[in-house]
Amino acid sequence: MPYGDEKHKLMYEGLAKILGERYVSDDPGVLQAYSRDYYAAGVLRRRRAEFIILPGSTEEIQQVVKLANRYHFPFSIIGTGMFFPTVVAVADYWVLMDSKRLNRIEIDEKNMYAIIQNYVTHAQLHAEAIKKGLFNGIPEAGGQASAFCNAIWAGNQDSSYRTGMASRNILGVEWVLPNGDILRTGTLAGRGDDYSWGEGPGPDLRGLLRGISGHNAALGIVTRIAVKLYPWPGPSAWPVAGLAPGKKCELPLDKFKWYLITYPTIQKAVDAMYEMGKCEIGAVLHHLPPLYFDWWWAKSREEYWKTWLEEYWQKNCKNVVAICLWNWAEDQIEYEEKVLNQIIKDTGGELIDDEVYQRWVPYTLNNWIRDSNACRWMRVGGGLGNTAILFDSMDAALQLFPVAFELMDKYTPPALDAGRADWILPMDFCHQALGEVDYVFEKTIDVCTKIQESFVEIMRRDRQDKVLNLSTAMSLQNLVGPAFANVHHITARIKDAIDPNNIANPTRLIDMEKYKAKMAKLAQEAKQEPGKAETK
Amino acid sequence: MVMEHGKSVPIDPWQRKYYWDLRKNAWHCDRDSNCKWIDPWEIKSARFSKVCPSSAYYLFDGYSCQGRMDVTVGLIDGELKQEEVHDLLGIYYKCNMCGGCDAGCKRIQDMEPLRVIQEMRHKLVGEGHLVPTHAPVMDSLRKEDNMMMQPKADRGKWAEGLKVKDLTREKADVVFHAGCRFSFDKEQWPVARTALSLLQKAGVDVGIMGASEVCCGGRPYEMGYKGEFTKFAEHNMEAWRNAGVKTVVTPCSDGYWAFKRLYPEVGSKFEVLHMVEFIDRLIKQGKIKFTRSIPMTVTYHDPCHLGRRDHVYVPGEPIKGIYDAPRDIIKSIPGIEFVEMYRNKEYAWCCGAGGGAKEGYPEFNAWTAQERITEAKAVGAQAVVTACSWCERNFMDAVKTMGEKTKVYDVVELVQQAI
Repeated sequence: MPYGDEKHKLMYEGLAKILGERYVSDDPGVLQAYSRDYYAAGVLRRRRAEFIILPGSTEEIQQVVKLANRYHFPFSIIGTGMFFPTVVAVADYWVLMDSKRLNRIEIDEKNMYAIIQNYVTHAQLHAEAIKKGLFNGIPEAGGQASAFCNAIWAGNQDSSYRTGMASRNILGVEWVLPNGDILRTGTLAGRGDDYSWGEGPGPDLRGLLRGISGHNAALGIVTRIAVKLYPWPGPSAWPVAGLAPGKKCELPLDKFKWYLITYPTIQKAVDAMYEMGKCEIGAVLHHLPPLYFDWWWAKSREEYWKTWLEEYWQKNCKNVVAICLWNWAEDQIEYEEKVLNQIIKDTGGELIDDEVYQRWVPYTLNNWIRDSNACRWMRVGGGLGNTAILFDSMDAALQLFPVAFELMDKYTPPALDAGRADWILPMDFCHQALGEVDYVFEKTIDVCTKIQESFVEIMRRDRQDKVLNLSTAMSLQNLVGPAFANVHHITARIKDAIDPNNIANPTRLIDMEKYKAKMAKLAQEAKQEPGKAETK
Repeated sequence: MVMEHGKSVPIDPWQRKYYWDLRKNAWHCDRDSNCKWIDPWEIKSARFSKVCPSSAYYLFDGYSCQGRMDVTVGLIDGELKQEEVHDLLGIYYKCNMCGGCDAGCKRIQDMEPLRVIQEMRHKLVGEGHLVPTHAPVMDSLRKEDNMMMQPKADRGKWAEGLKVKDLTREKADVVFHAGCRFSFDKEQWPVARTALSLLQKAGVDVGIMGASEVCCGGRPYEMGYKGEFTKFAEHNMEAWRNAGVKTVVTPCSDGYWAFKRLYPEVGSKFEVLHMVEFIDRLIKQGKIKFTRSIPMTVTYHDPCHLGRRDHVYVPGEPIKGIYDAPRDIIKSIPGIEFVEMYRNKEYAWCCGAGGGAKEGYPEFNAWTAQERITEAKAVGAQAVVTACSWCERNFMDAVKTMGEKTKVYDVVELVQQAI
């Protein structure tokens, strides 16, 4: 709530001077609209910021950050809102920046990249890129989610099999550090107008903003990035027919061809995907669990539960590998089909029935290239949880899944029926992979509380088993750093160097106060009992 | 171990089979922002990809559908107190009630967020929280039975000189309801007169209420004045019954929506047709034939109340509306080159006039209309054709303000030119 005290007034005057009154709000009604993070924890811990502001340029953000250092107020920034990770206020005098005015797209057709700002969505970028024969990947968060945020956050995309994680496609970056300096990386560090190459003199600083789940503004505000685009063999406008929620998309079959193949075991499915990767065929590759078929296909909750309880997808889509062949060059699909058919034969796969294929592909799967539309997940219960999100290899995913299923069993209910929801998204022709086990739950305070307990347990398991799970990555590095080569020490030093006042989304990424207190305590113990502190 | 199938299904029946519940709807919002954009499948231009005028103009999420859900939950749960919200009325009323957010949401959720906003407006009015700039219009509705702040005695002037049954004294199968704007906006009189003539030429047994016609009640309903709506609805239905009317035909999309979707709630069983449905029927029956060519590139603007707001919500069912009839009419006119705007049908951008925004927040209303004209120009249209008096007026004003040459027509006007 706005406090109406002197500091509040000073902040308002300063912010309004930089941005204009129109772009600064301390109306509790407006603040309420930004009071929740997306996950279960966010439902439980709603809190309003002191101000919501709408900066329109890098320079304005720089001035706001300088003001924050002068008056010592914390800040964070949001994109389009989906997944909205850990940016809601957790301290007094919080300023939350809404990035809606940062919405510029520029496409460099010749050099195949796009310069984008924070509020540019995947679908916007995709629509503009395909007009020029290029495309960008789309994550499960959906076409309405920010392409910018995906690139600097988790970064998985449906085309990651061919194009890698989104975060590996970042070129030049412009970034306001928490101390108010502007950092430009790659070729952009030169004259300040060349985005074409990601690396520049010295260490590659993109590593600071990426990680598995980004830094969520804890190391400053990224304001502009360039992302690579790839050749697009399809039409210049997305082909779509019908009315929502039952729209249909039919991509030209001579350019895009989906194969959905079932396997007796997930191991066999993974073996087949490795073979596909070795042969470098296809542009999009997934292993999809039956749950995903129903989530994406059902147009209402009633339809979802009816189909789920009848086990339509469970019976017809066991251990499915979905691969889409793209015709970039003449006869490419023809060649890749031959290779694929040989792989299917060698690995014991079977094509799913045509009736099942027709029910799924034109209404859902084609669209994963434009939208993916994971928001349909929340239709079923209102909440989404994961017992595993792993960025490693497909083999590592197979090792993690039984642990994730064990946790699923323990927390179902309140988690809703999900079966064995073992999604695998191979990246870089299967050299890397995302493995994920998802479920939905009823979004009530009681259930969110239970789900939160499950997350705590997952974090404990992560730390104990040293499994690099997204739940770990999103948690405080104070907790998990010791399990991962003491990475928290490095993070803390970087944070301290560029954010001496600890105002950039404090407590997220690393809780500096706790960290410093712990370090002080250990130092004290070391003085008193040399040798003991080293073991902690 | 394989988990027992069907072990955990939702406890709350609402999560298995949808029914209306204000808080459950607002609480279920997952903040995915689909309410702010047209369907990502449909985006063809980054510039024209937003669906919610309110969010696009006011920018803060408090003025988006998602924010309104958060505020609603906050108010219901007591996290937020009405008296502490600086712009409580603005949050619920700086909105055209166009339903773009609702269509965006329904593609992925079983929810009726627009109904949440509507119910909150009814609640606010019920508690005496009134938008001050709505007062003159509400006075006009109470005293003069119209939205236009004009004397009710002048309501029938648009039809002067036409030979038509007066249903206050005669009986007919069909009543032609002109609506407030067509009745009082002189520039738009030709649309109403032509529409009526088309019905007569087609041999329809039609009449009008003339000066005794009153507002449909749809706009006051959306502004939160449910009592006024009921009064007008009961008045109209009684007058129609007395005149032996079976079918109501109107060229006004707001009126169409009120008669078709709101009146049944108060017992109406009248058949309701928009004028474009009637014309489309006559063309397909061969009763209207075009003899003149109109060499022009035109686009069609879907009025919200004739389009997406016409659908009756059933989870999973398409967001239906009268989308095809006006397009079929326009495309059948010789010489016309028809182009679609980037945002159309269930994802059409609003003209800005609805929901009390025109009366309450004229700058926002004007900006919304200008955005649509800019979009029409971007697709190369020389003219914007629509099927609603409110849209037409807003676009005519926008074109004038912008100094544009884009022409604005009602479908009826094009039909008349081509006959």
